[in-house]
Amino acid sequence: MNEIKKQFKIFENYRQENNKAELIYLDSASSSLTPDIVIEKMNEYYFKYRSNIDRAISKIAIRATNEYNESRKILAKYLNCDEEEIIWTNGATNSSNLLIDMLAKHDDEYNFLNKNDEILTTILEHHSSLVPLQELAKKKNMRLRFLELNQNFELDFSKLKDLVNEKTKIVSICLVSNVIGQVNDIKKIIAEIKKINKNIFIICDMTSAFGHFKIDLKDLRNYIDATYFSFHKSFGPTGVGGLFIKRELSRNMTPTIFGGGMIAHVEKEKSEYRSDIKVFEAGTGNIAGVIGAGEAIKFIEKIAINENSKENIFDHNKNLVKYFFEKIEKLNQDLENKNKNKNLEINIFTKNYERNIGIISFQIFVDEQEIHPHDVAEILAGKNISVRAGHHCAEPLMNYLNLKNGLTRISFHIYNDETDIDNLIESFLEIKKVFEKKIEKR
Amino acid sequence: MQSQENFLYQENILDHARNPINKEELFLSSDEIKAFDQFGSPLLLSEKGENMSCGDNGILFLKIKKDKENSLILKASFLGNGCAISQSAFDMLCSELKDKLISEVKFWTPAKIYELLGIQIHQNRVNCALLSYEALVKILKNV
Repeated sequence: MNEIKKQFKIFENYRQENNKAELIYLDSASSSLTPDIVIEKMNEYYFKYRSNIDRAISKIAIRATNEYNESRKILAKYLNCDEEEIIWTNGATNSSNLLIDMLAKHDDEYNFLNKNDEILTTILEHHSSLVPLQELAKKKNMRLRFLELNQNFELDFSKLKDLVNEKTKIVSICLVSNVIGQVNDIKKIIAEIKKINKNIFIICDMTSAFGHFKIDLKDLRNYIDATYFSFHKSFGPTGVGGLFIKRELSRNMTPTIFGGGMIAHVEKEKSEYRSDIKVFEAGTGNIAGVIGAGEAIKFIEKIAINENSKENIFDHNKNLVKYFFEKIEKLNQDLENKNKNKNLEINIFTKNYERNIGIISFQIFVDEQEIHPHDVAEILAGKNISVRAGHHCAEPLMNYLNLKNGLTRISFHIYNDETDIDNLIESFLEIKKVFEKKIEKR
Repeated sequence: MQSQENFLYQENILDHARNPINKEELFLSSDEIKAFDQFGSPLLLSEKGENMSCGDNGILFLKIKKDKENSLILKASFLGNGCAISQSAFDMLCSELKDKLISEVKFWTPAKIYELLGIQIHQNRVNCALLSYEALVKILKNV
């Protein structure tokens, strides 16, 4: 077991519960594993200072408040933004919906979105980004437009001049697609967009990318106005996410969720609200989760984000993608040498590894018939390999690529190693074995 | 011990998925319509089964000879895309439905599908296995 795996007790526990079988976890793009220190940090809250934040003045409540506030500091420092620019949410979907609701409400007050105005997004977007935009478009009678892909599955810049105009009011682009895995050159795309129209609210969904490489909002704030992410994809707990909105913008926005924690003063008929960022965090949040999220960032910074360190997450994952490509090439050669009728084909939907964060989606064909991703995943599950099969919450992308059955996706993170890929490739041969022998029957 | 993957992908399941015998759209020819008219009103019904989480889908077609006393399924077929489990269940169900009385089919439960597949279906694959059953239940509501 590699050194990093030892920091994730789930590997040892899996072995104990599954006849000493090794867990081969290739589904981090769906949800990453959580290191022991993050779990311990959250347990510490429950075991030692479980209480609510802000309101009480007991010793444990003060400790809880300090730890909760500390996480916001850690996150702000990590992203290089102001603490007052971070809203804790319960995940990326919640962040995305909150942001769109805030924009809609802002428009109710200031009327900047007009009938037939346009929202530009991309064909790569996750449903959590796209569906709230669809709702906004419906509500405000706006038109949704899509930036599509070139032959390398990269966003096709050349189409921007046809898609952006004076009616474009909102742009929403993911930093990394959860299916293709490629880091989009958002600075370049947005610079192009701003050449055509400067007055656009620009959103960037960073959910897939978060924690994989350094994101510097001090630099990026010249390009984007809001971004969001989730911690369950980056070593943190489930149910915690973040929403960043430039403070100069959120200061003029009104909350959309009301109740305890966001008020300054309440009378029978009306209320006054807080003036800080907590005005957007009504109710008791996921306190343990937020504290765990802060620890997850410490883990990322300590182990993996250091660009000079050998364990830099981005390079680690990129090298695994490269290794996977090499192994597939070797597999193809071996199969061709062995048998003139090569009957196993792997069709990969990412073209190069240089900008890939460790996500590879593919189809498998045996005897020229596609093996349904669910069947692929089922056989891999039998080999203790966790992968994802289906539409990956990106149905428009699947339709665009004409993939009626979806894709099988593998995704790497810091705990994966070359042995995991060797085992995966070995299992591809098992898939071939299961499906080839049964074909010419009836 | 038989491993999980070998257990699910029994030969009969793969055979039905790969070489379905009932995968076609059903139509009523004008001759059929005339012939049916002498006995009872002819019916061609279809409904869709869809699994949003994975994109599996299938349309079930039933050609039914309707009768005051009891309606008979003359033929069943399907069109669809999906995993081996969902598509073989569709094909097996179509074979099973042929020449059955609606009054009998109305009593079928998901157990019928499991019986046809002949394997144990774990929770994560129940939706795959029952896609065709879902379409059948929708049709039966209209008969």
